Amino acid sequence: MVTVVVSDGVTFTMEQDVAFQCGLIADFAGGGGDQEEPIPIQAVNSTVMRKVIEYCEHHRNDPPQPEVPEGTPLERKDRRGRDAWDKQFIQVEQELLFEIILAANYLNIKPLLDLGCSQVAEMMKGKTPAEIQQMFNIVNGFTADEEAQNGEGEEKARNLNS
Amino acid sequence: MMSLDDLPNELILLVIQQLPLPTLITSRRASRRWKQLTESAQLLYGRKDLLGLYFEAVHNQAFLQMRPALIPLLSRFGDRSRYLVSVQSEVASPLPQIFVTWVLEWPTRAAIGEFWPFWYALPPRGPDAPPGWRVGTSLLGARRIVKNVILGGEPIQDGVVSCRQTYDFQKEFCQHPNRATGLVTSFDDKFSIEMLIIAGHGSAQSFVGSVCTLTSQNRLHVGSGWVPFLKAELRRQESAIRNPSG
Repeated sequence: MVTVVVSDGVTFTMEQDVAFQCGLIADFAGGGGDQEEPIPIQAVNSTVMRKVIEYCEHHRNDPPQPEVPEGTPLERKDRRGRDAWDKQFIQVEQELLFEIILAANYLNIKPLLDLGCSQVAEMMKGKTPAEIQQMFNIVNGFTADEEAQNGEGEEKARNLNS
Repeated sequence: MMSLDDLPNELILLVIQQLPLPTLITSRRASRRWKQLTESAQLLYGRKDLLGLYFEAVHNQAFLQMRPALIPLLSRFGDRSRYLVSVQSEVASPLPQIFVTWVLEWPTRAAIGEFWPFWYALPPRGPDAPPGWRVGTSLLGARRIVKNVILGGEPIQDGVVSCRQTYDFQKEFCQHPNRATGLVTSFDDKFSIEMLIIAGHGSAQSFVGSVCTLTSQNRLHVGSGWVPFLKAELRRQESAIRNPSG
């Protein structure tokens, strides 16, 4: 068993095959036996950790991702497909989604990171730039000049993009 | 409250890598940071080249001039995956990646020249033809033709090689060690055929993904890849509109 303690002081105990899907925990525990001390995970809170563990438990029996040697063309890198469970799992509030992405990156869980990023991509499909700004509450940061250029030159681009 | 803006660049780049071409085109305008990251992102499946092609197209006068005549003739809801499955069924090896991405993600309304599988009706020929339209017929669409050629024994010189054309019913050719299979994109009035090589064996292996021209003298001219080919077509249309006589 592996025990971790997260930023808000909550501890989680899980079996090794669940915990070791987090590259960070696997590195920390070093593949040895049971840990005496809980592993501190300061960058993740308990709400997010609960989701992460749910994901790791569901995928505990998955075959390991094949190692991809350096220099392999990106096209060849295998990505785990999203199944129905994954799609349901990642249907969460935006804020939690971004926190899951950050946690997956920090904990080094590549398939969860991919899943989170592809969910953001999915949300952006078919939206106009204004809808994307509004949906994600992002600041456009363009100068007035750039904005004018965008409006003019890319008006055509937008009209043909369907 | 946490927003997308709070993700570090390396994670935004991962999101950008998952975006299909139409979303890459629009999302650049959502924010300055997003635009800069899209430009520096390592895009997958040939999307970087296709994005470049798209922006070259929408800044090309001939391309824009042809839109009003072409757009009503384009079928917006062509079944792209089914088309790919039917092309794939002709060959055993995977189709060139850039061609697959182009078929799946290229915006219909931005079809370049006649090179698009999803025409509702092809534009008129002769005097009624749209300006810059080339002589020839697109065979990428419903009347798709797959052509097999067998290369001659001589080495390729200056990108030209002698060959024999074959027909599908000539089964004995299907096992020839030096053969290429092409998707016919167009032919002209001099009986030369342009085709995108989708599979190659033996000495034809290196031709996969390039557009080759098969002349009536059974010479195969090895040309550029699919995106440079479409870029050249844009430039050809532009000069045809500028100098209608030439």
